[in-house]
Amino acid sequence: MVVAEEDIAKSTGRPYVNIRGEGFFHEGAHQISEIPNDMISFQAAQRAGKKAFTDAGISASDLDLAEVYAPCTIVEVLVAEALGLCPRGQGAQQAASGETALGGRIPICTSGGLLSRGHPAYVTALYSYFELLEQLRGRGGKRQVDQAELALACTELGNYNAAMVHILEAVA
Amino acid sequence: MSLPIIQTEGLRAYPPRMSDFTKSFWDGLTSGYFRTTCCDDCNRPSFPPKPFCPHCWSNKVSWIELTGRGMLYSVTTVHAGPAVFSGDLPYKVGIVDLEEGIRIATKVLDDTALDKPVELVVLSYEDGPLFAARSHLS
Repeated sequence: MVVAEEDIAKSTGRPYVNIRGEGFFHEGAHQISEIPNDMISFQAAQRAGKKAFTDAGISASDLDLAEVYAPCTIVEVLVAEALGLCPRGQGAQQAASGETALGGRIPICTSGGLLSRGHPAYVTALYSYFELLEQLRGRGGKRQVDQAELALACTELGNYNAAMVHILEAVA
Repeated sequence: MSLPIIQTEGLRAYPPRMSDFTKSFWDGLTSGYFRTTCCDDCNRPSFPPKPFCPHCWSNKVSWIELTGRGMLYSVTTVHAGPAVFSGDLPYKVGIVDLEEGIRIATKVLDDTALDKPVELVVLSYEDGPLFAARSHLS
């Protein structure tokens, strides 16, 4: 993956995507905050997501797919809720009913995610960005999301004590 | 107010590292006191004890004694643990919100339900103390 100004990317003649927005937030704690908070609301993902959506000028409902950093089943549910991809408390139900599957309302982790694709710590997040590059350039093969134009990537550290969100956009 | 002290046979499986600064905490625990640091400027406590205040960045902190009472926020049972704790399997670890507004991670000794009162106890091993939580009937 190469990050460059758009005119440089364009000059290569090779397919690329645009970074349309970004957001980052760190709550200042690692794992368990000594100040009691709601540990399943993933406040950092909420705030980073809000910043990224504002920066991109879109809302969660505009997204075509998302790749989230979720090393455990429950984490995908909770971060999907924190980012507004699913209403709070309905993430698991929506995943089970196929809303977050390929062909569903908002496919999450078409790559298979950390549990199915794999989780080689330190480069895991790059795999997520790579999946979105493939999807937004129409190179997803059997995993391709129809007419994928806007995608979200979310990475984290600790127990989502910090989160970084990017909104990526296909080039028309 | 001192914590109940439970005499425990054997050595601690993974003795905590003790620094010059945290010695006050471990010495206190040996005597049944659960101490931490509290900011002299903003009066907010912190845990683990630190030589500065994470809330307002003051370097002026004092040791205070906590009650060791709180509520169980979360708990889980470890069935497959690190080799060093294999002798304890299965064991419970949990998250406790202390009365003073501090959240800690701790071993849990019994089947306390979530949001129910717990108290910290000292596990007095032959080589030093550890702390753990158990249900507290108030």
